[in-house]
Amino acid sequence: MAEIKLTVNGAQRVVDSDADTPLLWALRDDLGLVGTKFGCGAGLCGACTVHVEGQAVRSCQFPVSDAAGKAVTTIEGLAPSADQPHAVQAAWVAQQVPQCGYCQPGMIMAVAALLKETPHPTEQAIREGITNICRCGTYPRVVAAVQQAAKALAG
Amino acid sequence: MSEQRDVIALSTINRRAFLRGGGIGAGALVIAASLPGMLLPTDALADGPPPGAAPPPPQLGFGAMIAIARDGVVSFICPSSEMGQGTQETLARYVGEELDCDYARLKVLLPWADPLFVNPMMRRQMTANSATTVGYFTALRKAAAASRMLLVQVAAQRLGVAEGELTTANGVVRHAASGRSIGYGDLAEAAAKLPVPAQVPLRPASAWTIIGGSTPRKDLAAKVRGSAEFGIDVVRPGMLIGALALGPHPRAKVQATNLDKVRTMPGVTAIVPVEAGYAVLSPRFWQAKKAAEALELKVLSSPTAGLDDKGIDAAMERAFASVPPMEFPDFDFATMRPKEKRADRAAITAALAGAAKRVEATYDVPYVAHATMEPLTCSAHFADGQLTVRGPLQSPEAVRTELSQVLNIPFDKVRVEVTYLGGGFGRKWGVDFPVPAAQAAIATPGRWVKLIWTREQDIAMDQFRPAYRVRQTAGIGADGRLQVMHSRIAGQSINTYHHRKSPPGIADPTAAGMLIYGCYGIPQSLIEYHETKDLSVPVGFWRSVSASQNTFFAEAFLDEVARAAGKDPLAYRRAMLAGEPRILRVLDKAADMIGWSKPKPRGTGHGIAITYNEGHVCAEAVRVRVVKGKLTIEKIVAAFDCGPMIDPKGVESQISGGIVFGLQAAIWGEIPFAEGRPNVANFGEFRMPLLADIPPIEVALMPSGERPGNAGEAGTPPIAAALVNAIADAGGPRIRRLPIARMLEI
Repeated sequence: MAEIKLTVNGAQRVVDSDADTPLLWALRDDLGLVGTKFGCGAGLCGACTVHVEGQAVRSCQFPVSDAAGKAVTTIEGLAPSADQPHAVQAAWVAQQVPQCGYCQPGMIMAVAALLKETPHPTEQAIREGITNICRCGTYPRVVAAVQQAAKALAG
Repeated sequence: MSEQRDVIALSTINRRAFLRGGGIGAGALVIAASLPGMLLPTDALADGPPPGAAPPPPQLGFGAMIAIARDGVVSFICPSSEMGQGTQETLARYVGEELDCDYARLKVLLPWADPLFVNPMMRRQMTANSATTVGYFTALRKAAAASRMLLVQVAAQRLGVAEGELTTANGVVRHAASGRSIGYGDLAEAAAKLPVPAQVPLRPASAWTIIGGSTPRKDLAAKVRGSAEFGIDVVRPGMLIGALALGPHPRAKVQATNLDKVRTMPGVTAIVPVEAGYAVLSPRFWQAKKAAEALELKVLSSPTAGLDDKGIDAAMERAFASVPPMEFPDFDFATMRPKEKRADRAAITAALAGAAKRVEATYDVPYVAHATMEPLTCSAHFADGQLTVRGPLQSPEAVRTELSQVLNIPFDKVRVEVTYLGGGFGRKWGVDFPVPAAQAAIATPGRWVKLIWTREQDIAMDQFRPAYRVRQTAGIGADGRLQVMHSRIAGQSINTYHHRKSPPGIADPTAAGMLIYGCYGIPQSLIEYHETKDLSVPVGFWRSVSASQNTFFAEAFLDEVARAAGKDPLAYRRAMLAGEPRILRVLDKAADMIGWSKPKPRGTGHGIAITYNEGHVCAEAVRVRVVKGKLTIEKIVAAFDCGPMIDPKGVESQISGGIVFGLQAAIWGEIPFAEGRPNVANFGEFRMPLLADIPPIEVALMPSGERPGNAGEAGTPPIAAALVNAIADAGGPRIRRLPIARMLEI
């Protein structure tokens, strides 16, 4: 066990964990941030996607020790407040994307990172850039929701 | 049941249960609908009320509840489990439609196991069989309408006017003539003391404003913020988190050989023997998982010891050869009973022998996993003889019974609470996974325990959709018409695995149901089921159950029959559906959407297939290209009728999502077996479609009638048949064994 200092959703946090603990479990079990989901534990599904220094990472494959001194954003910190949803979250509700909703925090985090990097993605770029697994099959609404979010972010 | 016999009863127990479970303030008006004719079986009531509640009055039957607090906020405990199908929104609309509350502020709460919440249609509290929307349709609207009537009564007394002069909207009773109004919150406490009216008229479909609308689902805001509580998200102070070390089968017996060593690993609080293995408990999952992986298990026994794919294949052949078949008669959905007419085997044999043309084929589907995105998980707490379980459950009532029986705890000392489900699809209907959570909690009294299965364990411990093999023979008359069909299916019985009884004298419907479609009016048909009694792979209900495989068998083989008869597969179906206008309308729509009659380039094919039951008709059509063994799906369309649609956007997502679910099984889904266990680890092997894999999917909603049906399972069954039919039409191979990726590059 070692103390690891990191910034999570803007706040300084200290995690006392095995160094090999995936960021996912440090967030969930040490910091109580359970919006980030466990789906496969193998980096295949993207349910655990968070931002580290603004980059989307699959936190089940990212040791918490590698996040030391870095800024982590989770689904809980994506929007400034509950009544001011991030453009991606707003578009997700408007297009009624979620079904069971379990994979959606990870997909929303992946999309938010994609749009930061590529503010005006082509449909092709969206389809290839978002590789999160959704068992409910919400995919048909995802492209439209990403496009709506891109439009909103562009103002 | 006539509407006049419905009585709405206000009862103390409902209110107490509501207060306990929902955190509603005192003085709330709480209504439960009690419907004579839909009473619970007396044995269910004999188990007694929930802990701390008064005994229920004998007439108590159904009580999905609505509460109005003093501040006017209306809360509704949604009695069925929300697993993505949108049940919270659907049922909330029933309440909103008749209550005239401020619908945007209506709060929906999660349920717990309670006789108050039984689905009047299934007479159980269980979210399955697509039975929620239709099951609660009348009773919930009546509960809401009765609440509104009582609020109006109180308002009329206070304002000194006749009830008929009052109107209700947005949680306010208004007297237009005087301009006075009173909010529901100020009326609720007095209304709660009034007797419930015997006659509760409901608004006709033509007057609906909330039902059929397009407001976003109530569960979405929490889901996009990450604040919806799924089973895996249950957090309690001091909670222990458990990882599992499991044998190769859920009913395997194992023994750990290095317990003492693993107990000393960092973070390990306790190691508890549970069903099929051990739960390693720690404050942190990661440490629990590392320790669980370090446990060395000796397998003492396993029901599938030594099983592999060859063994499964051999078991199918043994069943055909030596297990006497059970017949599955044509089924009457109106009464949920087999039709009286029984097939005459001798006549079938003679008709087949005398047919102008015979078509024979063998079809196969493999075992497939549910693979819900939320792996199996459940939390539990045990103290002073009281067990509380909280998790993602489709069958809270059955879980309560199971825990009580298996763990020998009195029924009234078992409380079962439901979280959001990160996907269900039938897997979380199972009562298996709450048991080890409860066992672990009992071993650590006073502390909450949460068990989490890894993805690999979730797949390996699944209750798979069974593998089936079907031998089909059709006889075509000289006129090209399908005269006789004999279909024999072999595979495991879900009912047998779960020690459930099949209807007496007929084959397990979950295996054999609708293997030959009654809607086509084939003059002679016979369905027979040869149960593979020597296979013990864990099996269970998988979205759409028997329709998931039998629609593939029936609708792909029918395509072969049509082609053998020299007919266009669509025209062949249409000719047989002359007496089925509802099905025909949907079939024609799907054909039109895919451009069935339009010329298409070489290498391009169209395929179509239907599924139907008492609550829906779904037709799906596909356009594919097959070039040099490579398959490209260009477009998928669906036409869908499930009666009036309570939440059309939700229905559309159920159909398109159901198609994606079915696509996975059709193209990639397969759980092979080797050395006595599923030979699949994670999503790398049990491949899921990604966004880039999904072709354009168009869904046409075709509402009809006045009574809602069901939508959650309808999208899944037809896609595999439509796809293989399109592949054959494109000049590709006739695929009779799923998954398609075994035959074609995608």
